[in-house]
Amino acid sequence: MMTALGDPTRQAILDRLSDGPRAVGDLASDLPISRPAVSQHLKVLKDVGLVRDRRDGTRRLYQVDPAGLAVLRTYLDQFWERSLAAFRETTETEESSGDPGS
Amino acid sequence: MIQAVESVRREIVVPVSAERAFTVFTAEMTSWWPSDHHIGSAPIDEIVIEPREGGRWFTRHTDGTETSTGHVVAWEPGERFAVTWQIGADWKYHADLVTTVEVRFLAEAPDRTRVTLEHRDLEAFGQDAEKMRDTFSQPGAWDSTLAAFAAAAR
Repeated sequence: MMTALGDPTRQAILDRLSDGPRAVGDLASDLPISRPAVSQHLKVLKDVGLVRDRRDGTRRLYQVDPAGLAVLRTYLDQFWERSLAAFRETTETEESSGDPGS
Repeated sequence: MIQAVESVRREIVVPVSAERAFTVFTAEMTSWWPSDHHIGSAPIDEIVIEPREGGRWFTRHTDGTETSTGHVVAWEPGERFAVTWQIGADWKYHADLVTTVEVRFLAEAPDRTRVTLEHRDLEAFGQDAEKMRDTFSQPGAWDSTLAAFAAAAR
């Protein structure tokens, strides 16, 4: 199976963030890579909209950002609403024409 | 795993039998599918769901080309079916991006059927986001793609 993120370290970081917000140092202590390396991976994840950060006192916390996916989800929700309405219209036309075989 | 994204759920009631609704939805998908919603280089000629588990879900275009959407993972005529939807935010088919669309047909009367649709496993889009970004040449293209989705959804 392919690694969805193309990089096992970024997958590992996301796995940890899925449990809740973490700071860079916290993540680095838990992974076999340096703190700057963790920061670099976090930057990539942030750039693609998967992770966002916020200041918490003197620390910066990183967490999974569901907003990027939310736009796609909204798109699909509206796509299916529109498509199902068209599907119903097709069956209604069929019913009123009395020709279910068409 | 990335945290789960809530499934898209929609339902609708149609004035035909469950068997007929199943047939219109699957075998006659071309008759109701939004014609502008395809990823090919030419308009839709026909949308095909091969009626069996493992069958393909694809679109044949008027220029003779085909584009894949996914494949059948459950097939129970007149009752329910499930297909994968493997189109990413870059409007391309991805073998390893698997979301699932399941549709159920519940007979409420001989000529009335409740159709429920669930599009789930949407977190797969997020897992694929970085790879998609690599296909774009400019920084921030992912954001503009999402913006285009948002605009299209209006």
